[in-house]
Parts: sequence; C-alpha cells; structure tokens
Amino acid sequence: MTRRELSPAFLGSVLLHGSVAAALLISFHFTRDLKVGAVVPVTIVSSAPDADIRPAEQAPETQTAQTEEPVPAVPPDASPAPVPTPQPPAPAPAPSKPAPAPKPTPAPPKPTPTPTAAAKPQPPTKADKGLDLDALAASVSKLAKPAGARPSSAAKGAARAETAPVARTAPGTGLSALALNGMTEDLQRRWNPNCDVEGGRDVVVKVTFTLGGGGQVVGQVSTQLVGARNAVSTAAADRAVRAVYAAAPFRNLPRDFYGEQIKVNFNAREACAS
Amino acid sequence: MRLKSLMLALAATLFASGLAVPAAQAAIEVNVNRGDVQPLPIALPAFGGGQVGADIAGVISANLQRSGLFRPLDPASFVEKDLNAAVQPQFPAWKQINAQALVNGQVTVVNGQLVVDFRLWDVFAEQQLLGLQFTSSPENWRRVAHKISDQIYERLTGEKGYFDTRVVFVAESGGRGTKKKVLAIMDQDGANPSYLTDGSYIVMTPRFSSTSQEITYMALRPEGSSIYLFNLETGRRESLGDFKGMVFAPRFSPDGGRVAFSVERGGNSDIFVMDLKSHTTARLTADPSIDTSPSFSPDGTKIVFNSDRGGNPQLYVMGADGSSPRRISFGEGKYTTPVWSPTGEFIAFTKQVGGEFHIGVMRPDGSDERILTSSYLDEGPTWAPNGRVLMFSRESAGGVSKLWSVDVTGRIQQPVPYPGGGSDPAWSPLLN
Repeated sequence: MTRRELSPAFLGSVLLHGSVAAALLISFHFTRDLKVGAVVPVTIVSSAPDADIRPAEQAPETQTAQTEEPVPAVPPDASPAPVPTPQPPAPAPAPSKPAPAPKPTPAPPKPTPTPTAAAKPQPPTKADKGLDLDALAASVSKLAKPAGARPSSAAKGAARAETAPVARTAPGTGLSALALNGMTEDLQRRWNPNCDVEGGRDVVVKVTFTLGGGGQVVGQVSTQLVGARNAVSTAAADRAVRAVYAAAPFRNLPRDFYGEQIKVNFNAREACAS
Repeated sequence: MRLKSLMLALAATLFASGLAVPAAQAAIEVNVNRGDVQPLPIALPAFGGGQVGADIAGVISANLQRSGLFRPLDPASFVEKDLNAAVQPQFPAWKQINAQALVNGQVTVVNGQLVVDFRLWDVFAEQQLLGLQFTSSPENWRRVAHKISDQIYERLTGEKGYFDTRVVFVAESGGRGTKKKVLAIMDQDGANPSYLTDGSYIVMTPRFSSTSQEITYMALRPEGSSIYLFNLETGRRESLGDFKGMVFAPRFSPDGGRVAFSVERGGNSDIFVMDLKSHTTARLTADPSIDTSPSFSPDGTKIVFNSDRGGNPQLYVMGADGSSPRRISFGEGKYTTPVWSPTGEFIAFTKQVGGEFHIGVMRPDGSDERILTSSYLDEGPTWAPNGRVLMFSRESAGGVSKLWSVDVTGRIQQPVPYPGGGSDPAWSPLLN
C-alpha cells in the first residue's frame, strides 16, 4: 500500500528534482564561463630609476632654479610605496651642450627625486623662513618713503586693487609703478589656477623669490600657503611657482628691483571668481 | 666703552631708518588676482618601445583630454624628438611650445612581463614631479596607461584620478519596441566592452559595490523581477531571493554588506534593506506612496531616496534605519534617481522640468542646487570615484540612448566613447 501510494509522487519528485539539479548545473557552468569582467592586476613595482640630472648648462638664472628645489618636496604618499629598485640603466650623455661635469651615476631611486647639481655656483640667497607679512609690510613702507623710488610701497593697498591698472598710480615714481604693473600682468598671463578642482579655487599661495641682474629668478623659490597643505594646495603651489618661472626673466624693471626679494601673492579665490 | 655705545647707537639709528638688513629683505610685494584659466598644456610624446609605447601615450593623452583639465599638445609641434626616459629632457625645447608639463616613458618586455617606466616633468620649474615603474602582462597595457593617467592627474591637480575604473551599464541595440537590453561592462573610456547577459530578459539598474568587483542589478522576466548579485571576478551569480511584488532599484551600502532596494506591491513602493550575510530584510519606509531609488551616504549612516509623498517626486534623506525622513528638494519639477557622491559633498539627481530632463547636483541638505545638463531626456547619473565627474544616459527624440559624462561644474560635457547605445551606467571604484 505504501509502495502504491508513494510511487507516482516519488517518481514525479525525482524527475522534478533531477531537472532542477540539471538546470542548476547548466546554469552554474554558464556563469563560471562569464569571467569576462575579471581584472588583470597591474603592479607598481617601484619608483622608476632617476633620470640623469645634468649639471648646470643653461643660462645662469635657469641653472640656479634647477639646482634649487623651487617648491616643497612632493609628499611621499604621492606615489605608492616602492620596493627597492634595480639599478637604473646607464644614463646617456647630456643631449644638448656638453656638460662640464656630467654625473653618470643617477641618484638612488626616490619616490620624488630632486634634481641636484652640486657643481652649480650658489647665488646669494636670503633666508625667508617664517615670513612675517605684517612686519614686512611695515618695514617696506618705512623703507620706501625716504627713498621715494621704491615701488613696493605701492603694493600695500587692497589686494584687489593691486592688479587693477588704475591702482598703479600709487606712490613712487611713475616708472616703478608702471614696471610693477607690467610684472603683474606678465604673471597673470602665465598663471593657470586650477579653478575646476574642488578646493583649488580657495587657495592663496605666497611665492617669494629673488631677481638676478638680468631679471631672472635666482636662488630658492619658496612658497607659503594660506590654509592647510594638502594635495590640492600643493598642486596649486606648483602652478604658482610655474607662473613665476614662465614669466621670467622680468626685464625693464627699475635697477633697484634686481637683487631684491619679490613676494607674489597668487589669490585663486579672486582669480577663479572673476 | 664709548665705542661700544657709539656702535649701539649707530645700529639703532640704522634700524630705525629702515636700512637694517631685515627691512631690506622685505622688498617688493605683488598681488596677482587674475589668471589665465585654461586646461593645462601637457606634452605626451610616444613612449619608447615601439607601437605599445605609442599606444600607451595615446590612451593617457585621451584620458587627460577628456577630463577637461588638460590640453595635450599636438605631437607635430614637438621640437625635441626621441626622448630618452633615463635622461633629463631639454626643457627649453618644451618651453618653446609652452608645454607646462611633459610625460615621457619607456616600455620594455622582461621575462614576458610588460615593464613601463614613466616620468612627469615640470617644464618651467625644470624638475621631475613623478617617476614610477609599472609591470603587468603585455595584453594589459591599457590598464597600465590608465594607472599612469591617474598618477599624472593626481600630481597636477591634487585630486584623486578616476581613469583606472570600469563602468557597468545596459547596452542597448534595436529601435523602440524592439530594443534589446544587455548587461555590459567596459573601461571608463569605452574600451574593452564585455556583455554579461544574452538579452533574453530585460536588465535594469546595475550598480557597483564600492568595495569589491561585484555588481547588483534587476532582471525583469515575464514571470516577474529579481535582484541579482554578480561577482565579476568569479562569475558567481546569485539571487537575493523571492519577494512578493516587483523588486527593483538595488544599491549597495558603502561597506558592501547590505543592499537597499524597492518593492512594489499593489501600487505602493517601499524601501527595504537586506543584510547580505544573514539575508535578513528590514523595511525602511512604510508610506502609502512611491518610495524608491535609495542611495547610501558614503559613511553609511543616511539614505537619500525619491518619494511622491508630497504630491510629486521629490528627494528625501532618512537615517539608514529608516528614521527621520525629511524632504531636501523644493524646486519646481520632479526629482528622481538621487545618488550620493563618494565624497559626500553632493547628491546628484535627475530633474524633469520645463519639458526637459536635467542632471543636477545639490548639497545633502538641499542647498546649492545646480543644473548641469539639459536635453530631451537625460537621466540616471552615476559618480566617478573621485566625485568630480558624472556619467549619465542621454536619449534623443529618436529613441537612441547614449552614455555621456559631465563634471560637477557642468562645463565639461561630452559623450562617452562607447560606439553603441547605452543607459543606466554605474561607475566602479578605483581598481586595485
């Protein structure tokens, strides 16, 4: 009786389970074949070997800029943690003019290699750490008044007015004001603030450098950020420094500008709003 | 003693008159309040190493150009040829063409492995900004190019890149009424498309997990709808289970441990969340209205969703447990498909107003609403992992749907270079 009652149901159940199992197997096999989306790994093995950094060979001013580190070093976390790198290939000779003292052995690999050229003569640089802007402004005003020809005193007005051409009829000789205006315009043409990046439009970078006799940038170019230093503001500082180098040499300035320290305030807040 | 006093007096006088050294250093101050805002000119000569070197440079160039933040220079303008990646470039030659940055590199194959060295140079400061080496299998050269693009992008803008990513979407072919919809995946630049379903059923709303190479999507068959999880690396596919009613609009939580989705029963849709480990389900909304399109905040504590409980579709934010829902959109028109940005700063949405559809963004509190695009039918935004670029679908009046991208400023808007039709894109996180 039990056998008679169970037989049809049992057979049906077996068939049903069998077909489900078969369907699952087919389905499983199908999905196993769908590895089209798998990701093949890419490994960052290490920092690449350093390039051959040639000693100075260009005009003195550019040489100086090359030997110094114009902006703070890139944070180490800008590149993934490197594994020690094999020795770099032997560097080729300097591609253009024969360098007076080529350095055939590149420096050890670093995440952010810093060009070095010890053979370069160091121009006199003025230490500018811990810049006190208020004290500077005050001292400049004092210095400019008796001299009567220091255009820097004209730069103490409102920041916005500084770049307005009409605002340049400030104290000092007309020549100085005009020259400073020209310098400002050169910097404006060369400065490419990153207004499209979140945070990039809020950065204010103060770049300090010294002009050589030919209007070139000599010595260390230092940057100071208003606000926190992060990847966006570091990139913004690079852009400000780049503008200074790109605009140099600054010619047709009054003689007393040369050898002086110049401080440029790059204000992305203003630039991106305009 | 008298001499010492005299010296001190002289020093004091000099200092007071502003002639002392510290004052002389103060010098000249200039304020620059305007700039030449433009995409950054960058030179990307072909990498050494033959055709693959040229191809890698080409992919990098296209990536950077599409971002809108860079302007790759015409290789025909390059003065210095045959760059050697181990030697410093001749900077004057690159200054001459006004390249602000230069990328060069070398490709070699070592023991069957592709080895790519590259360097990023600041042309005017004459310094190396980056120098990295990548290895991979030779057929994987595009990913190497994307990784290099990310490095360059991050170093020069300060933002994380988004090039080494993929997009899952619904590939569409055929006309209205006969449209075939297939689940597909491609690189963010439209390359390497792969198709994950055969088109025998409709696929909708695929979404990436932000923690793994896993997607969730809705499959619509004549017998009903299901939500699936699909692991792209193993090929494993599983259903979330059977629900009474139609299930749709799934989305992962930021930790990948939960999926929120909508269930429609008798004309009323509500939002549920399932724990993927325990498979327990919790109901988050119980309003007699259509509640749908849930999207988690990046910290997982809140959910933005779309509801017509106020009369027409608007955006609401509630706790991830369904608590304290509050409306955040109050503009004209209908707001749908909200998506929280990976950075948490914005919520992107589709807005229908004035006979057009728009992609827009607003702050999570509803402030600072910005419309980024307008067309016959723009919808379904998804965020790149850096939170700066959105991808969406744009359908023309003729019924052809294509994938487009736009940045958060709305300035950089362009089609995604995928040749076919597509809709419902979902951006992956950065690949490892």
